[in-house]
Amino acid sequence: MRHSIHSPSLISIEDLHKSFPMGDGRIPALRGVSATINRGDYVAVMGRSGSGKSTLMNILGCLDTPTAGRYALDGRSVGDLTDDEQAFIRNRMIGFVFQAFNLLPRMDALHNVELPLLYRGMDSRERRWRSMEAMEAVGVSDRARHRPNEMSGGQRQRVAIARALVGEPSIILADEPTGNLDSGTGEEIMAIFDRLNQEGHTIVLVTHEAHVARHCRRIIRLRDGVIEEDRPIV
Amino acid sequence: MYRNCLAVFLRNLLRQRGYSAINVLGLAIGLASCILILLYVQDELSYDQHHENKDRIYRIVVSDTAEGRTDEWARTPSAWGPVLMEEYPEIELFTRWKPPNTSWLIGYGEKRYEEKHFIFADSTVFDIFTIPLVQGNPETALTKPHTVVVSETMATMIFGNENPMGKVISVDEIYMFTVTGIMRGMPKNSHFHADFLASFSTLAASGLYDEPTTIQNSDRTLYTYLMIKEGYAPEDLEDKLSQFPVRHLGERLETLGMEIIPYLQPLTDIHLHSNLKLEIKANSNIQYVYIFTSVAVFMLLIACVNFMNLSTARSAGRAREVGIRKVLGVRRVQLAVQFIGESVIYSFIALAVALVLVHLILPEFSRFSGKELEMDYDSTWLMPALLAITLCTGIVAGGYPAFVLSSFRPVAVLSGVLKAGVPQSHFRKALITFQFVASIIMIVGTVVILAQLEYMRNKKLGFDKEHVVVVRLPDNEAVQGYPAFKDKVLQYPEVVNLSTTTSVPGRLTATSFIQPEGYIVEDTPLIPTIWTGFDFVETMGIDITSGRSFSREVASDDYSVLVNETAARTFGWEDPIGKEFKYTHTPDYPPMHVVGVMADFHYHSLHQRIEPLLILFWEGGNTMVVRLSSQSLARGLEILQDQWRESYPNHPAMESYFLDQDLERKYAAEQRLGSVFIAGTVLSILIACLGLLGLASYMAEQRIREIGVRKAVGATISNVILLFSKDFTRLILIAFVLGVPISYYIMQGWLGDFPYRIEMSWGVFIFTGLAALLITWLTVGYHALKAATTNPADALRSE
Ligand SMILES: Nc1ncnc2c1ncn2[C@@H]1O[C@H](COP(=O)(O)OP(=O)(O)OP(=O)(O)O)[C@@H](O)[C@H]1O
Ligand SMILES: [Mg+2]
Repeated sequence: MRHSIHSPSLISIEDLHKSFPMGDGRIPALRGVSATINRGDYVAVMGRSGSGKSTLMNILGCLDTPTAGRYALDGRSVGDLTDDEQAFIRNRMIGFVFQAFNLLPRMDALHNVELPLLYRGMDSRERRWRSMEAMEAVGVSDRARHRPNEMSGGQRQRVAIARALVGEPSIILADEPTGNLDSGTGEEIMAIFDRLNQEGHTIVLVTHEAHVARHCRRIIRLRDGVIEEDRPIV
Repeated sequence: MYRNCLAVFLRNLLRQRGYSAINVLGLAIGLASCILILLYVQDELSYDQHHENKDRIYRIVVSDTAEGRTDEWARTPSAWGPVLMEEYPEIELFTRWKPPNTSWLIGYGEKRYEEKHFIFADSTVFDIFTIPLVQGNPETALTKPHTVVVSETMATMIFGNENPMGKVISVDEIYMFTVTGIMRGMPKNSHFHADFLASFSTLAASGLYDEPTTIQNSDRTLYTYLMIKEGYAPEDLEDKLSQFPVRHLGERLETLGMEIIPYLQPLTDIHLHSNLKLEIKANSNIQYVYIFTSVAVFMLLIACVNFMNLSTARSAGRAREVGIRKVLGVRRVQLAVQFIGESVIYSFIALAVALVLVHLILPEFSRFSGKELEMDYDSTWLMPALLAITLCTGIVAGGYPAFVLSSFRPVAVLSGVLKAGVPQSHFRKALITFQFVASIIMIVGTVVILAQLEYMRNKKLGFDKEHVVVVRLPDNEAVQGYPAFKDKVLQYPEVVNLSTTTSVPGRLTATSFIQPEGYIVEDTPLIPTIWTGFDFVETMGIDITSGRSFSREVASDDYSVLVNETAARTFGWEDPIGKEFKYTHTPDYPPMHVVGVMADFHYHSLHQRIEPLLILFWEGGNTMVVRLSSQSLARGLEILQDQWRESYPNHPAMESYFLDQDLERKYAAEQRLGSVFIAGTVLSILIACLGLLGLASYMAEQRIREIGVRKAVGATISNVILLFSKDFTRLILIAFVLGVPISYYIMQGWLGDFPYRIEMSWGVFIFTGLAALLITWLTVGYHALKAATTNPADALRSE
């Protein structure tokens, strides 16, 4: 892995395009998106359904590759990494939180949280220790031995956040983390993100709801695959 | 309702083409193997079944015990038949069957034919056996001396378009036979075969044989068949028969310390249950029928297991259909019938494919099995058997999936609870483990059989079996001409050495009453003996460990003996040289002395332990062994044939064979077994792989989301592949632990029959385990790789 050059912008994307094959042709989801995200940023990505939010987040999280454009994460160009190098980046630098939680149903919470550390080859005692810390940080350490279907939605999302946090990533990406939760529970989850940001974590999240976006300090609004608005929240 | 089911079935069949193809192909291969093996087994079981009186026909076999050694003979002394007939009213008829020792030269006009299937039989042969005559009267055909009944094929060959009846043929140029009947060709599935049936009375009339007036035991020239009167139990007759030898030979038996017991062997048992000395031809073994049948059932089971596996795996996908039908009020039984019906349809499609496969393979399979097998759809058994097997396969294969599918509760299904957990995955794992166990047993079996075969072929026999030609000296004249012939051929460097003998390795030895020094008459064992001329030991490459072989320089060598080490050990001789032998029943014959000891060599096939063996000197043996130079085998054989034609113009065709090829034939049964196992292993692994492939693709589909999550948190491609193979690998390990002891036990049992055998080493099992792992990984690998390289974003989006 190339050594990172320290720069204030953690993420820099330039003229990103992404299109999907559809029937005979392709439909564009992103049509030239450029932005920089700095360390410590707390960004809300908004926009109508189908505007390309998830597509953008997947590319930022190295879950998908752009059709064209440049993406540099912490100074490294992500475009020309091999599959295994991308896996390495997902493992070390990115914590992803999904709307649908995506916990593995046959494992208890602790094992779900441990998963990223498992792929670092960390020994099991340290894995467990760190996972418990991460679960404590989001307040679900008492559910460590429960399986996902034995927990509420809010608890599941906390476990998912703990999983995103446990590897101490450079950035946390969350695609509609409160989308499947009632508003009260959603607020609790946002409080966790607020605290994490205050502690120095860089966070980018997607939301449809203004009151969720209001927790952030910057808003990027997409429309039909291009940035319509990118402004700080005061 | 069922019309709708059919539509659903067809839709599924087409939509899931890959899955349907795997299912059908797996079943088809299983069915095809099963059908082929069935044909083989049916043929084996059909031997001698065509005789109308088969349930009343018995062959008399004789067991004699002396010196703690029991021999069982397929032949009886010649006088037994008539005497038994006189003494036991239960016997309706008997016939004796005298096969030729060698072949005869049949002549008609200018034409000459070598004929091996020339048999002398009592005229009752047509009353006992079902041998239909096309021409002639079975009642009278063989009553007079010098009459013969000829098979249709031979008759056409010899007489062409002439009417054979009443024509005269010559046998060995001296005996004349009148054709009194034409018989239909004997079916192949018969323990005997004759192209010529000559009247038994000819033998006495032409001085070939004296009808003995007393019962004795020493001549074992012919087979005696009895037909028991209706209503009599063979067991009772057999009981009475045990007294027969004592009554007639009591005194003699007592002096010799021998016991002779006759048995009744049912005609239909001969082919599969009889392996006695002097059989008409080498019979089969019921053991192999069992083994082959098990292999067939095994393969069908593996195919069924595949089907069950794939169907239950897919069942989750059909849960919604079940839910809706149940909500509509369809009863569970009806659903089960629907699903079983589907699998029965599948198996009939598979049957069609299987029949095509069978027709493609059958010619090759027939050649390999040495049988003329055919798919005779008109026969009474084939169609019903096919239908029954296919139906059973369908029901067995569909039964479990039907049970699982029809048990889904509609609420659970429709609310989506079922979707998350894959039902009955434990049962499926058990099924896969079963397949692995089966495959491991098959692989171990194949490796062990092939290794044993290789061992038997290459084991040092104690003599050099290669480059030796065995030639029959057809008559006395030929025997007398031998010394001159020997001098002539030895001029050529291609001919290394030659000798005459009464027998060669792989063929029967005589046992003679010869009394070794230190033994009294009563204790004298029967010792296998052959009589050879000079140079036998040298020609065969047998080692002499002490003393010397026969020598022209020593005049007294007419009365010399060679013993093998086992014989020396059996008689307890430290230094055998100079020890004396006498003929037990010929006190006037000069005593013979041991001049040399031979290193033990395998006179018989490796199925038998090395026995004591004597070589006595006699130049009159009717078999010649010739060692040719290894450099110019073909040229050597040519020289022999040329010289033969010159020396024996009466017998222009030299009858010969290569010793090593003849010995090789002793292992035909093992070779065939090996081939069946290779084929069975390849096919069962193929079927199992088809199942694995289907299951792996299903698993990849089921776990796509999980794989997406794992990749999202940093799993690499190799992590995912490992995850995928881990499950299968664990199953293989379980199967390995189960399969090793089972296959060890089975193969140890098989090896136990061989006195000279390989040791099963760990290597066999390690090889098997690695092979199973490798095959599985390759099979599962494709889907694992595909799953591992999907984009996590795509994986997570899928519902
Ligand atoms: N795998 C795919 N194949 C084809 N089209 C896709 C795929 N993924 C996204 N799209 C299309 O790309 C466009 C953007 O989709 P995206 O999921 O990014 O929208 P979104 O802003 O996240 O919407 P939502 O708020 O509903 O989640 C849509 O028109 C969508 O149909
Ligand atoms: Mg989205």
